[in-house]
Amino acid sequence: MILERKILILGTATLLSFFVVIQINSFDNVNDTLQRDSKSNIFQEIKILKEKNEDLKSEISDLESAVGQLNDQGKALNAIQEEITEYTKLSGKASVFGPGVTMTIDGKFSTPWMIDMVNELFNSGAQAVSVNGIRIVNQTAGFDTLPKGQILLNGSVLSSPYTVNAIGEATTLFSLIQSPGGIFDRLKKAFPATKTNITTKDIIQMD
Amino acid sequence: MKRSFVFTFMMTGLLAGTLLTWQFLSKAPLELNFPSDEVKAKEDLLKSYLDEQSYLMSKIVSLRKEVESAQEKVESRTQTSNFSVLEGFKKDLGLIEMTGPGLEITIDDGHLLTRAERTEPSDTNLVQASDLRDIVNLLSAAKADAISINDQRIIANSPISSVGTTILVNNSHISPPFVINAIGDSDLMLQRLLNKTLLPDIYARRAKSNIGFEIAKKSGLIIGIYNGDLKSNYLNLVKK
Repeated sequence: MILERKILILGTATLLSFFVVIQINSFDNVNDTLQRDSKSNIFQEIKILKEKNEDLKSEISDLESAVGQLNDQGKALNAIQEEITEYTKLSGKASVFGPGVTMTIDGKFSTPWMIDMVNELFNSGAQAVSVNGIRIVNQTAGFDTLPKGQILLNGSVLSSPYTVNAIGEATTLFSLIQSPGGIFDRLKKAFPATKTNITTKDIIQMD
Repeated sequence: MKRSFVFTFMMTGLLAGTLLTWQFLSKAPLELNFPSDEVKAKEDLLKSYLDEQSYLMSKIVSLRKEVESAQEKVESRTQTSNFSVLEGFKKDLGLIEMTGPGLEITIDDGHLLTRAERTEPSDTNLVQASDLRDIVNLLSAAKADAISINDQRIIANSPISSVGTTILVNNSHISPPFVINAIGDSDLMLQRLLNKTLLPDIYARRAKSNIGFEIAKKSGLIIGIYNGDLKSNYLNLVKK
């Protein structure tokens, strides 16, 4: 009887510890979803590459057209002007407008997540991004963290609520930012008390 | 004695049941499991896209040089002042090769296994896309004039992301070791990079020998032009 009881207790304890170990492993996996980078698979990898190659082909076609125009005396100056107009829009040296999304982040937030948010927007096809009115271009000094945790961008201290604007294909931006495992999903897990919101806009202006 | 024995086992059973339920409720990410020939077919497809991508990128670089040369000819014919404006924009947008002093930062995976042999993207022995983003951001905050990762020129809208254990820069695959070149004020950039509080994850993993992280000053770095696409079809100029 005593032996049976001992075996019973031993078996139960073994089973219990087995569950405990499995549970701890599960927590490790769940915590992975809080990583700053999303998890994706080979299908997404192929999709991204396919789209990227299409974009590159389109760029090649534009460049071939530019070479053709530049070699035509009658069209050369016009081609240069067109290129200047395109670069003016991209460089941030003039105000631009277009459709896109506006996001607000109200509450605790940090520099690494702001970097990730901007990165995710450009990765989703945004052609221009601004944070609290400051447009992110090549000449913008990157994000920094001040001693009290405030976020600094291009010499200006940013404060909550943070407004992030992105110009691009509004529906695509909206769906990618909000997709399961997307940046908003990960952000909500990292900062549960922070309120986030995203809306599509027909016109967003960046100065 | 008998009652306490039953009570103990009842509590143990309840605890085991709770843990079991908890376990089934855990939403652990599931790894995809394909038949091996299907995976092989996908990998072949992936390789064909990558080969095509490298060809397209080199063609873009060559065409941009052709455009540059055609523009120089137009300038010599017409003496147009627009040419210098255009050159200024190209410099701003990363379309001009840069040379100068700066830093070479090498960040590498731990060497026990190759990246392809690791299935878990969160492996602490792997360099993450977020590590590269943090370094690039620090360099940008230190006013670097030009930055590249494994020869991919980084511009403001260059995405640095990951798919599984693969890192993509400008949506192109790059492999470890990751070499980040930055032209600019070497001392200022170095001061930022050596501040462990600004890169806590990287320094913690380096201390445990999980990853490699080295910085070297260089006198004559060359950073090539951006070889990706520049889209502005959703941007409209505000007319003054």
